[in-house]
Amino acid sequence: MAGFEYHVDMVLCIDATGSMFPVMDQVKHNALRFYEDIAAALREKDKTIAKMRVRVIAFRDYYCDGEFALEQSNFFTLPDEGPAFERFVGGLAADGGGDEPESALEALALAIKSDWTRAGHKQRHLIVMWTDASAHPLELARTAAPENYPPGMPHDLNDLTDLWAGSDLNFSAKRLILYAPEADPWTLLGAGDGGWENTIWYPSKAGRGLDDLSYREIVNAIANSVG
Amino acid sequence: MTIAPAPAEVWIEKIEGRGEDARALLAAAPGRCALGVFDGLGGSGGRALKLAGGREISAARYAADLARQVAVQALQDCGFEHDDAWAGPGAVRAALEKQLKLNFAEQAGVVDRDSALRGSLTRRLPTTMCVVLAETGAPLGTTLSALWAGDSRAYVWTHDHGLAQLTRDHAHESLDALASLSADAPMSNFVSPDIDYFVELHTVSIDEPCLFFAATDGAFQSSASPMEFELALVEALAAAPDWHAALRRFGEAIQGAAQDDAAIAIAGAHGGWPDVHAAARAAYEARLKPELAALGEGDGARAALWARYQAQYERFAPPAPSALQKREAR
Repeated sequence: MAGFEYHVDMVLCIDATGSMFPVMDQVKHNALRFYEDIAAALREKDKTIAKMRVRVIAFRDYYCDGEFALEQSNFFTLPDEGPAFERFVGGLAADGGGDEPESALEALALAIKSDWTRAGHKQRHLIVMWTDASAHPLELARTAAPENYPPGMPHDLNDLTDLWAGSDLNFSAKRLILYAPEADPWTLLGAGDGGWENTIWYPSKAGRGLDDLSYREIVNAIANSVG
Repeated sequence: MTIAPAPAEVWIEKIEGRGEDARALLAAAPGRCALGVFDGLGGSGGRALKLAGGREISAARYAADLARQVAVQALQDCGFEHDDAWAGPGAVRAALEKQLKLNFAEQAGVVDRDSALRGSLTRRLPTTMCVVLAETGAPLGTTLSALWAGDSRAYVWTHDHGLAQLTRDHAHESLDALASLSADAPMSNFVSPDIDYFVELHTVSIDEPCLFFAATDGAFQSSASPMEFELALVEALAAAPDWHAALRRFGEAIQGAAQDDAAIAIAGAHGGWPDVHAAARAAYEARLKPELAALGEGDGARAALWARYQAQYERFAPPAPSALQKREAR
């Protein structure tokens, strides 16, 4: 749109449990290239980003990983803080988690509650989730929450759906991209129904087997929806 | 009882050969006119399809072209070209809904993709559609019927009262025309075999000479406000020596600012080019030039001007959805 600026925030949720070890390098590679590829796709469409920021939430399992259950960064402004972003991603290691499920829904809730940009005339708020596992139900925290369990979490999936559909996120700006298996709760979220609008789901384990065509389709879907 | 100036189009590809708007639909019969635009949704339909003969086309453009073909057929089936067979806008709406659903279901199978992607942003063959039917009467009356799905819009520009929108965008958020420019609200209703969509019909009566047109979002989003969109149109009409030169000028103004493909189908009623040209010059001098002079003062000035302009701009629009309808749309 004439004279308007686009401010793009991206939160990358990365399952960093031991089962991700075989694909962790690929996920980290994708995390680092994702913003560059979207920026390039936007440039190709003659659309300009005034500012892009990215933050990372690496999650494991609150019910067996103690203080290592979650690692999260603040927003990095790109490209200026690109080296710090790369160092944070590079430092992630696939470890822990025990058997599935993992604490992906807590990570998703924290992502939704990010301090999203309101700058400029137009914003885009993207959340990307890479996981190879199902997720613990949020209700489990009622009886078994560990001491370091984050405060203010939704009580169940309905609460989380309200959080996604609610006012914390700009409805028009939000997008959720899931690289997640056909397991609970991803089948519900990925279908894009029941309040989970603006979603793209690639049903596989953390994007394993993601062909280039599908990857480009995802990048284009995001780029085309800016403006 | 005339359709004049004659139907014409403005059609802009942001990247040559890769546009996702279909060519405009332009059809005229004595005392009657049909205009249409169709905007394939790149966000959902960005995947490339390989057609017979090896030609590549985006699913979005394929959908837009298909919707245009269906609209032409629906008009013919409803007797658009023959006075004694003309079934009217209600019949066109019913025919459009039925034939769009049949044709898109059939084509979805033909172009079914191997993509594993799912979710609300990955619909097959998604496109908007907006058709304007104009029927002139005596002495200066025109009945305009907008039929649409999505965020392509129908407009009327009357010689004495300026621009008005005849449609409301089918979006998850009900925003006014100024707010929607910066919101990019996802659409709640558009043509696709993957969702349960509808074609809305809204009919208004105009009793003065007018231009009427359908436009895709790339056209009206090329201006920072509805007032400035009207200004771009009026400046072109006021400055050009003839109808087609005016549309070229209007297209250049859009192309210079657009971040998307754009299509406009436009025609007039009860006024030839000299009348339109004179009315545009008068509107520019008496109304737009003084009002828009304040816009240099920034967004606050734009909002203040919108507050004065909005009622006139929405004078022919369908009622805003109620809070209950908005919740149901979610």
